[in-house]
Amino acid sequence: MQPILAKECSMPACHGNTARRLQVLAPGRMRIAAEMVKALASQPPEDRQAGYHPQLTAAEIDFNFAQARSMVVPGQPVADSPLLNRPLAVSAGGMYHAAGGDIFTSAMDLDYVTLQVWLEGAGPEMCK
Amino acid sequence: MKARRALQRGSANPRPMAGHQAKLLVLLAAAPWLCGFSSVSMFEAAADHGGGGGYTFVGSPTSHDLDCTSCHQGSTAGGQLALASDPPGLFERGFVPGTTYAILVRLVAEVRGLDRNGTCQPDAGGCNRNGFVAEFLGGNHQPAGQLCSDTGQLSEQGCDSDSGAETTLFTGGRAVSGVSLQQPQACGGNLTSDCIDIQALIQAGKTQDEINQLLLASVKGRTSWHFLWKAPLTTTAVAFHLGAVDGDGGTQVTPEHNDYFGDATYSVHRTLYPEGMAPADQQAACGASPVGSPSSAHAGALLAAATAWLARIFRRRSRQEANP
Repeated sequence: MQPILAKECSMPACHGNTARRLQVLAPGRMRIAAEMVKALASQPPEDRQAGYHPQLTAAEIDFNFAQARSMVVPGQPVADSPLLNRPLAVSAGGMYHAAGGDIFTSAMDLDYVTLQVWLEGAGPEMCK
Repeated sequence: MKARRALQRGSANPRPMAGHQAKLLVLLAAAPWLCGFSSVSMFEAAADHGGGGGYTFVGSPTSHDLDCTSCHQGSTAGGQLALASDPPGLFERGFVPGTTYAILVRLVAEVRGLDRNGTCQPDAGGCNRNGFVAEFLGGNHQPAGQLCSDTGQLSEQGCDSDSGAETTLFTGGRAVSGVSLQQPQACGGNLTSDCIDIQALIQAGKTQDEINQLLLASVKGRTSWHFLWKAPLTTTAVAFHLGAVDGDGGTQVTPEHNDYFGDATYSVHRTLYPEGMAPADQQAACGASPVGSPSSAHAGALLAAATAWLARIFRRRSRQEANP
């Protein structure tokens, strides 16, 4: 989940932004300042040397989890979740997202399916 | 090619370096990690590792139309981006199939981060960083032609060096990005205004630490980049997409991991036709300066509208002349 949200949603002009209802933290993008300090302290020097940004801390991953979970209303079909129908192209049955916002051109996109099964309750054990 | 020869003149050091000079330059080569935001070459890293997740952010269909402004935010006052090619005419007349072009991308007027030139030392404020990413796509959004770095050679087997002094290929050679920092050159046989004579510094009694500091303080934001592109053997158009950032050097977080605020961004989107094969209304635009600007998308739209309008007038006039 997190890599998909980081890749597709976390740009500062998109959901890496405190002005959005769905807010996504990611390395090199929006971070929680106090957690960034911890992340920097625990980053291996060779990773910093290679130019990598420090990974999210547990608290930041929890934040993203809560944000993503808030996109689902209990009792309603997950297909109605904006986490699924917003990034899906209108031509594939999704809702308008933003200019150039067709992240998934098809409901068969692997990342879309991953989001869908996660919202339906899949855990890591089901992905093996 | 003139541009290529100039490149080789500029980067070659004709004298073998002494051991201590080599050590200093090795240290210098490590400077980028000391100095700032991840390089544009980090785009190929996964998004959750601080890269672009495989997207090139040039505003092309392969990036969901995401461009520099998806992350970098700020104004663009006064800046300008210029493109040129050797042989000339790629961006004015189109390409000759199978021809290798040395392409120059240049920030004509850098407006951001100038105060960070010379502050690229550890524990200092950070570096002035600039960069660009470009890709050429065919009709099916697949790479068109062959890209190569500035120091590479193109042959039938492809590009022999993905990583050059100024530009780097990434996403499997699909896109090219610009190295963000301008490292100082150690002076060779000929002293130039922008080289550092390490031998003279040693003779003047400077310590290695002092020389290191001097070298790092001479790092600037790069404002021009070369790369090679071999045009495809095709008679169909190629889409050229380029995004560039004039960075401000950052103001927060840490010197190692800079911010995306206060930067100027540029986008260039061109349809390049094989020479002489552009549609009539496109050929009318061939005199346009190959310059990208913050408003290039709007300017391009205006230009297209103007040329289409002119073409309509010419067609109407032709019809009137044919049927008075």
